[in-house]
Amino acid sequence: MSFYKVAAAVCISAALGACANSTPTVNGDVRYGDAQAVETVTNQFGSTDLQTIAEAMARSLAQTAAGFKTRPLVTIADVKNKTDEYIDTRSITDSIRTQLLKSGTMRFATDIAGMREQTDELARQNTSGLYKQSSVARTGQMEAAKYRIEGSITSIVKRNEDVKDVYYKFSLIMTNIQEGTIEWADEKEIRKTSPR
Amino acid sequence: MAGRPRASVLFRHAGLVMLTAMVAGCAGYSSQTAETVSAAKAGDLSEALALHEKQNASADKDLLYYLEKGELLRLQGNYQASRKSWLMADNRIQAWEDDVRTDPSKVLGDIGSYLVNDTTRRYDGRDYEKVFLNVQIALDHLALGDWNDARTEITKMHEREAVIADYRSKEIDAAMDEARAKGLRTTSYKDLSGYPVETLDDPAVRSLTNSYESAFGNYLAGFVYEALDEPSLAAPGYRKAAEMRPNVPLVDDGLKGLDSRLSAPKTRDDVDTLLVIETGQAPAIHSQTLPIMLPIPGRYGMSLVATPVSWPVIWPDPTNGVPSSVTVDGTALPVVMLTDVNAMARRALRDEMPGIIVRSSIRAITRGAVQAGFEQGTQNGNGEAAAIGELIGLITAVASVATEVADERIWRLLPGYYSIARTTLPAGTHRITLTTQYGVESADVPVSGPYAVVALRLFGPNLYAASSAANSNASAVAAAGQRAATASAGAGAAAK
Repeated sequence: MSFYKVAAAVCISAALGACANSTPTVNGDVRYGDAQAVETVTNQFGSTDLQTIAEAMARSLAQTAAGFKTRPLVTIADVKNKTDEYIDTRSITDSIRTQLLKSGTMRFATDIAGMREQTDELARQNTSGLYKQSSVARTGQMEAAKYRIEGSITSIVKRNEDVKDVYYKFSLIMTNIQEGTIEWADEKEIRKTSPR
Repeated sequence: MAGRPRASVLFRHAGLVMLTAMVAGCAGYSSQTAETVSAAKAGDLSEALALHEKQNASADKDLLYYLEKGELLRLQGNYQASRKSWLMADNRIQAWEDDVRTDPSKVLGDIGSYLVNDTTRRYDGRDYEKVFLNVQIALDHLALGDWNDARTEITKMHEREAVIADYRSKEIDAAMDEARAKGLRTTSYKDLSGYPVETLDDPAVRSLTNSYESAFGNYLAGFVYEALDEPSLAAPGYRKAAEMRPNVPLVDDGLKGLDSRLSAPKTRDDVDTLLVIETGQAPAIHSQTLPIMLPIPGRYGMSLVATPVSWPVIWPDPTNGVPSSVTVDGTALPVVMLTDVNAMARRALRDEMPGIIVRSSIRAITRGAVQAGFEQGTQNGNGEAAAIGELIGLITAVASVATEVADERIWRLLPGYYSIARTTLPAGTHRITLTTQYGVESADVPVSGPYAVVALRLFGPNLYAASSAANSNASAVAAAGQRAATASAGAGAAAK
């Protein structure tokens, strides 16, 4: 009898629960990790790729800049994303610029992306009447960059039933704006393979 | 032998009453939502919302409640409330993402679905629904002038797509392993005799890379990133959209013209305007009962039995209501359909079918085993025990048919098609006209700023419109309007 009772209870309770909704639950275990640790969660472009590229490019640029008589004044143009991944290349160039500024090997002029805020601030200081004239930044005094850094990131993705292979190439060049000559170029390649 | 009825007779009656109640309680989602959808289509959004609340009276609201409600509120022009509802839905999907990331087995194995049917599973949304929730929230943000929040939602969309991709591969592997372990022969819908295979083998379905990445979602991402001056993120959006909808000049121009558009001086008099045209509604899922040959344990051992199982079917939409052009101030612009939600839903079903087949098969085998056990008990027992065994055998047999319904849950009020047109307009209010099967529908929509998104939703005979400017100090919001002037709602409503 007990077998029948238990089995019947299972069947009927399961059947009656057929139309019931269940509530989702969340278990959260948050922990901090090392921001510099190698990240291999997926084979998409990740933090380790960004850091690797930024370090390699900053090192190469710093070596070149060390040969200049004075610290070159540089502006960074866009790095074109030619992959089909959503990669924020401005984040890469921000890291490169930060490392170069910290090393003191280059100076950077306001780039195109930051120019609107720069000119807005200049205009505000000069036209609002809110500031002491002696402290106001004068217009027409901005220093023009001598060099422009620009580049691109491309990728080749191949996959079969078992493996996905991603190859990234990040290329950067530095051009003498007045002379139109390329003074420096480098590239960083990354290959990542993962089972599908 | 007149007098008291035998216990088995009483049990039979009681069992039949129970079964009737069970069957009545398991109406499919399509029929549950029919009245709400019908009211919304007729333009009676207040009635649709009231019906929706009535259908979901329980305090424990599920994902679909918030999905459907968000769309009804959006149609009403109540973008704040719509966004709030969809963010509640998003919380539930984030819970699913957390489960997938931390313990996929929690999502993959759901004992209820093995015992009763798939509707006992927590509804986590179909893959494309999860992603379109991000898209719809982004459109709400845009209608409210919050471009940065729209950008955040689009970033969430990319991350969600990656989670889904990872999960789906694991789910298919798990289903195949389970099928092998149980000795199941049928794991493909192609082997289900009588199943409308053509619905899932349709070229429109097969041509999709997956069920969650959409050309529209990517194009919208490209446009938002472009408006926020982020070309490195805009480029892949346009590129992916062009890959999904190849050889369409309007889509190709997104990427081709990106650099020149960004380097051109920006003026507030010329507004790069993206017209988003949403038409129709997402499909319904229907149940179709077909037999499948399964190894069922019986009195004389294992035997292959043709067992009736209910399978989900999505039929193609025979009425493509996408207008071929949209007229802005008398000038016709070509409309390009980017995403067919019906095809994406069928692609999702195609991807889910191996798992559905395995779960349904195991369920049928389990029920067969339970029924055989009771029948065996009936044979061996006597008196009341035999009567109870007979009754439970009967209940199990009928219940296996009564509760065997396909999971028909699906976001019904999601638009059926996403189309776009793009043009540069002078800042100001413009008359936008669409020719539909119901006649000519118009809306007066203000645009300003270097970039603007104008969202137009055609649902039934009604046109709803909203616009949002990028980089302008004040968001320009035009809310829902309808052809029937009495039913218009929201600020700046404009429709004829």
